[in-house]
Amino acid sequence: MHAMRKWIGVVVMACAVSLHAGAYTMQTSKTNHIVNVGTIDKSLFQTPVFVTSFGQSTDGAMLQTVMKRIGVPFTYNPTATDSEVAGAKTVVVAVGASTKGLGAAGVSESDEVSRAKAVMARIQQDGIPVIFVHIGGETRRGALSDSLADLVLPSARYLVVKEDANFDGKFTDYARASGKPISLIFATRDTIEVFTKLLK
Amino acid sequence: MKRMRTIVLASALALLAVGCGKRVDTRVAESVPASPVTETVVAQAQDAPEAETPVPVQSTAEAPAPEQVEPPVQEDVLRKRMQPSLPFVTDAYGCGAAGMHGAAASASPLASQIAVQILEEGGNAVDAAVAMIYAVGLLEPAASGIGGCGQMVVYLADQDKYETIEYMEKAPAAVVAGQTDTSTSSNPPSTQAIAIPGTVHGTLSALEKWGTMTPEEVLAPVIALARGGFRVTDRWNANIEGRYENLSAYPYSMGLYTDDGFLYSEGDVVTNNDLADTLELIAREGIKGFYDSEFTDKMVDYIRSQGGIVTHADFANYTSVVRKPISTTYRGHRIYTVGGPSTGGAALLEALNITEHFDLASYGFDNPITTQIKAEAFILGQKDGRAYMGDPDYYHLPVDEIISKEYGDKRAGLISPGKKMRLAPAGRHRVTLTSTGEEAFASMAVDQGGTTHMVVMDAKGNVVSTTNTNGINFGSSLAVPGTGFVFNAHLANLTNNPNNTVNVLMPGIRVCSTICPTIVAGADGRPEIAVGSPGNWCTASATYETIVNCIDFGMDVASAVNAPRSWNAGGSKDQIYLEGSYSPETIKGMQDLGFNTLDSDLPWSSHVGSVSAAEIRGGVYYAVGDNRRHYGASAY
Repeated sequence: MHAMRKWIGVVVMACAVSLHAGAYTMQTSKTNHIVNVGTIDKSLFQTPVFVTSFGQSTDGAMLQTVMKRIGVPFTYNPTATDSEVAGAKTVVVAVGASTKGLGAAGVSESDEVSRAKAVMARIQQDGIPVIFVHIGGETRRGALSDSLADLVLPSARYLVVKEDANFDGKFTDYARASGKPISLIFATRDTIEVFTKLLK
Repeated sequence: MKRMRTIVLASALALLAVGCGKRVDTRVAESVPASPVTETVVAQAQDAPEAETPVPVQSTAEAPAPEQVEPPVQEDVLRKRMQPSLPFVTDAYGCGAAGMHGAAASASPLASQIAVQILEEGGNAVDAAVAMIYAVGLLEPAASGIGGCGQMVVYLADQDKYETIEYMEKAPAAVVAGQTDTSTSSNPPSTQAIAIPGTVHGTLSALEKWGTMTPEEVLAPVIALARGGFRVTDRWNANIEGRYENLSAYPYSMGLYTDDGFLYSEGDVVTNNDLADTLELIAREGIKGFYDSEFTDKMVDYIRSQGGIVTHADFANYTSVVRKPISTTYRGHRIYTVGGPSTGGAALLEALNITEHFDLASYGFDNPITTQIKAEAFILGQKDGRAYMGDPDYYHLPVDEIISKEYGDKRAGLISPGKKMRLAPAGRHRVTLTSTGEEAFASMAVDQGGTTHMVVMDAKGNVVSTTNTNGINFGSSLAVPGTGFVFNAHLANLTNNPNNTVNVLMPGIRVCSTICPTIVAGADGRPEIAVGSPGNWCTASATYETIVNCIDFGMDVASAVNAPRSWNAGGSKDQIYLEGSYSPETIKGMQDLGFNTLDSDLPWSSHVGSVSAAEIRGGVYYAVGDNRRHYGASAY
């Protein structure tokens, strides 16, 4: 009987380890494009909004498309400096590093990180509400993208994440730990619906 | 006891299976607290509640929709037909294929499979190549398509003859050097930079001259794929990302390649029914249907409404041209490639003539001196190609001088192994303008007349090597609503400076390009290797390196394509792209010689081209696509 208990103990531990180490499972799907978790004080986000990019991927330009579609007044400046975001009512940051995009913008990786740090410092100083956006998916989860994301997340009041980028639970874990609301989206175009609810 | 153990083990296995399988992450939902004054955002509700009472939301999951039976995605149908490659192929990246009857390689394994399908149905290499050109235009629309142009080198086995067909775009009659805006740096590129595309004329002419199938037959699998759907790849999205701003200027263009302005997810299924309609028109009405019809008016009217200068007459006057290939020998092999208006073909042959003076094999492949010699031989060729090659109908070009052995001897003297060349000048040649365009255009009126590479070999011994291009990715980004393809902006390759030696913008002149599809023949004169690449000047440098790898170092095509490459960008900064898959000794050796190495921290560089190649060896057909851009091959 003692041996039996030992067996059961081993099995239970194995199962626990298995469950803990299991891969993150998508909550969104083809039939359920958006999953929102948490609550939000919508009054935080006033317009016009200021849209910028950290990492110079196309995601910033796609957010520009979103703002146009939903008819929200906005300024889009993918390489905005700290002085340019000063006084903004709401800042939306599209995080995602693109080597090609950085090259096209004539910006080095270190310059981009320096700019991001300066912008976030000004945002914190001025208490500007920030919406963190990561809609580039799994391909935008490299070291540089993650370091840029880590600069924005502490100041973010809301997270919008294309869920395949959350393959390791990075963003949902952060949202849970910090108590911040998050919208997980299945496809990039779902950003329109999320921002309509956030800003309209 | 034994039974109990079995039960426990079975339970454990079941639990483990659950643990490794689906698991809903509800941790966030469980822990987010409600804020005292909040508004819930419910994305899928009809209206977000405006009430002040907080209503925390944990998930808006809907009940799953009833299962619908969807028609199969055509890509999946095609993939099922792919035959397993012969087992002894050495290709570490899964981009190669081998077979006993024929093989093809291109930017897309699906396009390569369409080519092989044509061969299996009895078509020859030209039939297969034409089908593949249209398939690549569908699957890699940034790089090529019916709004662009190309060149093709063909070996016709029954005639034992090498031919080329040149279908580069031509400038509209209204261009004026110094006045026409051919800028592609604007967003979007200038519509005045749109040249008359040549792909439809060139491919249908090739089919008529050397093919065995009808346009309907070769286009059928492409039309089926356009209608039946194919899956988005990372390359698809990367190309769109690079030109997102340009495409944004044209909602119809953006709609063709994105999910209503947003990038698709990889694996999403895309169709292009408008392109399928256009291809059906081309299959049905041929060259006239594209160049001289109501469809032509539709294209012209829209382009002109956007500021373009093309006319119906420009289209109606377009012709492709069959030209003799240019060639040289290299260590007992004969190399056939394209002459003007390509600038890259002559550069390639000059570089090989120079390289022949150096025993690269004695230094070894992964060696700084070998790499230095290749880099310098190529840039010497590139300098002459750039300076002296253009449209042979407009200029008397010094091509015979540039590709002569005597000139190669002289140029080789500029290279000192182990000591970096200080200057890589172009040679001194004379170019004579033979036409200013107006005369040529008048005679034609009376006569009525981004880049990708692909290769095909068939069982009868026919071989095709063809490079096709939009110039820059997505060209002008302008697609005429309802047509399904973008137009080039290739006039940017010509100069607005009327005093330039060659390639001055003139009415009717053909656009120059670096493209150089190539076939390597053995001592018996029969083709051994078909090779080429996109990538601006890397079209020629990547082709050059692949040939050298095969001939000097005895590599098979897969090894030759996958071997580390370089591209000597030259310039005052002595820049050379040198892939990090070279040994540290070679990279350091090049730096010690004074080269400013770039991309050496990367295993693959995006600045060294992307080769498609095929070879026949011992009766077996091998084809390989370059893993650098996820190219793919098929064989049977």
